Amino acid sequence: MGEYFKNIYSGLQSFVAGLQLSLHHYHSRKKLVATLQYPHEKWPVEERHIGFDLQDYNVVRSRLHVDINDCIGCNQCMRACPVDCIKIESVKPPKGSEFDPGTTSNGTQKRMLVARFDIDLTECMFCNLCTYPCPEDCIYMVGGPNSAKHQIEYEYSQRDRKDLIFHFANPPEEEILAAGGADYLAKKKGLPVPEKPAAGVAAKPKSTEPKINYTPVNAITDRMTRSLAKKAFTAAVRAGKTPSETAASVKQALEEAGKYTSELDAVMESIGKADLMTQAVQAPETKLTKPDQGGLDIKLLNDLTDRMTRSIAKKAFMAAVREGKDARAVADSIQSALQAANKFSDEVKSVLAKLQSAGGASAATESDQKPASVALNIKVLNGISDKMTRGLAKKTFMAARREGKIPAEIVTEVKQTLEDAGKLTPEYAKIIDSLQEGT
Amino acid sequence: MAEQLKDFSLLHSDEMVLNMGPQHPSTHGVLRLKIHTDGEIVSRIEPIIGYLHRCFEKHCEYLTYEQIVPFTDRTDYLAAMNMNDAFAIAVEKLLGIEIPERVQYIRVIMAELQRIASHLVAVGTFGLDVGGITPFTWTIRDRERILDLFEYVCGARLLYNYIWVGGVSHDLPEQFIRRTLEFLDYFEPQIDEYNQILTYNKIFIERTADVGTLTPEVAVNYGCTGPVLRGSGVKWDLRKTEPYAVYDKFDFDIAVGDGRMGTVGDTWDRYFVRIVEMKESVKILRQALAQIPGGDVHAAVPKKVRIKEGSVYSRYESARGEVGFYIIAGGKDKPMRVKMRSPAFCNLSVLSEIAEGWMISDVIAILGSLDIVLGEIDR
Repeated sequence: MGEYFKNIYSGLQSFVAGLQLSLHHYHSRKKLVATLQYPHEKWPVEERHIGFDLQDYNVVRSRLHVDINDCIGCNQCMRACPVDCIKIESVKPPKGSEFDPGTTSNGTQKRMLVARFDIDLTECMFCNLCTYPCPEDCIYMVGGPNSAKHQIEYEYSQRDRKDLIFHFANPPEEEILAAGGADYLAKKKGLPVPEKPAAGVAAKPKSTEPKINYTPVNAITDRMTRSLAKKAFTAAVRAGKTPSETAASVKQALEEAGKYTSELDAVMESIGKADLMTQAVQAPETKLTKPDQGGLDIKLLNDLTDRMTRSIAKKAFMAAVREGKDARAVADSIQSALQAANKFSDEVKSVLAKLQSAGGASAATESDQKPASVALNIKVLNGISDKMTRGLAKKTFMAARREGKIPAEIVTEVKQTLEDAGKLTPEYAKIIDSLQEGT
Repeated sequence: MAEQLKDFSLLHSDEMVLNMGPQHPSTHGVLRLKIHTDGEIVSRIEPIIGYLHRCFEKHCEYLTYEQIVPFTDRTDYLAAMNMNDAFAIAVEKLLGIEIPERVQYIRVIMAELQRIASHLVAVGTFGLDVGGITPFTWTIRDRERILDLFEYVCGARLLYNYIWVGGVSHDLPEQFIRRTLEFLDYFEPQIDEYNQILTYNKIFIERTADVGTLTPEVAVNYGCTGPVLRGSGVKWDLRKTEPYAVYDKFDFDIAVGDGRMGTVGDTWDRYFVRIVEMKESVKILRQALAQIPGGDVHAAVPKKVRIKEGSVYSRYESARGEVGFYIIAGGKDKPMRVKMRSPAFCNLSVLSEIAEGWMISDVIAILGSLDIVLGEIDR
């Protein structure tokens, strides 16, 4: 019974205690109120200025903003972003272009035009990681310590979801074109990228330009001296000096460096006589042909287990083959090379025996087996301008050749494949036909 | 006084399966409970999880170590600083770098503030679960002050990305220590108010004392940690038993349940451990704020975290219990595998065991006392 009343008493007591507290809170509600009457009151911005220099700290989490004029397109923020919500595309003016992307407010010369800088705020998770690596402090969260740069922005709600993707970079098309971004524009619009004036071609003209002829200078044996001489030589040639003048200036440069010796007189003389520029030799069309290995297969040497031995053997093999030795002579030279290196063993012996015996046999079979298609030059197919078609044609060509078909068969097969794919035009047919003509 | 049914043969009636959640105010997130009931008596509970699964662990394999940190925020979003800290400590262990003392202190301060903030939510929502609305508004109001402090430090209020591998993103602002001390002075009396209005309220005690008793054996067997384990009277707190950072320099006690209102390990004990822990955290904070040394917080931040090889398991006492990160480095700037031990997951798994035989309304109280965060359970 006592327990019963005790319970009632303690229940009432805690009830009254709770009410008292509530009453207390009611009285001091002005002091304790935590709610901000939001549309009428807003966050007190000034108080949140945390008292740091804004260059050093960037402690506010709000909307991301980019001062695009300061952006150098280094992509560091894009790489830092864990959710890939930053997308940057930039156009780099080609070498020698007149286009000037300008400078940042820190005075850094920009090297490219930022054509696209999108931040998708529907993806952004406000981790702030992108703002730290920025070398120009141009990406930051608005407001707070950055209030000098940008007003605080708590309400950036949009009517449409698309509007939450902020496009910071909007250079006019002319500017992109001026920066050499024709390809970029075409890609952006979904047009086929204009056939490049072939990057390869652009690089190649070098070979037709007259080159400086370093041959006489290369005769100098001392490395330091040679490098000095070359420098002076290049400068002189570029300045358009005559051979004798060039020789004089090289001599002078070396003398200044205290490197000139009487031994170099001969070199100077040769400089004085030499053609300073070589007219470019037509680049040899033919690639280095593999030395005819006389039907010998270097792969046989792979049977050698020891690495050192194998490498010595292969070296000797290649040297011998290049000299045009026959199987026996090759084996002999390998043997002597290995003996010299103290690596000759029974294993080597057996491998060499195999090599010798294989030599004769494979030489005979190879010339029969390898179809004449070897003579078909796949490069002819490069005349096909469409990339897809070219790829398809080459693929078929290679497959057919691997199967050991004769040229006529290969040609028909390539044609057939292209036709099946609906890519065969009379022009291409002609190119493919010319495959055979080459033989 | 609520009573637990021990002998189910007394009922002889049909079983009914009641679905609670995934959208239910007292499931603390998107948790679905399949409650097998007999009348109103619960015979079995199947927690069904995964509604908030975000592939955190798989994600980590595609992110650099620095980029994982904001994702750890999102696991336990009520104690994000703790998760940042836990991950950072694990990676630092793997890197084998020494952290400046100032950073250690800053981290302790942040972790303890976050522990208070998290416990405030736990206490407030627990009151809400058992029918007391007022304490919730009070605890949330005080938590708001902690969030203000966090915003003052790092600009964010919920998901901070403040504790980095090797350091912290910013040094403390000038007025931080003063403002934190002000907050502590304000906050300590508030704990007494919570006690007055909730902890020692007769109705609250009736609802929670002796309900859902978790014995120490069961708690240990299920791998419960944190306040849930300590509520059962087990003195286990990694800050004391395996001190990391600079916790060995502070004088504080491990809060354990003592069965003051009923049996040891009942719902009230689990609740009260959190109240006591907040007081202990205030104690640690005062010491840390007084002792904090100077120094550069960025001294040990590696330019690029790149770990050749190795693996590490690092444990950390978060507000909810032991957070573990098992990281296998893959020789790149990204980990090969990250496994996270989630304390709330283990704590939740004990639910069926302790809620058996209680009424549905008691299940709410028991679940509230476990203080789960679904973001961390599902990851």
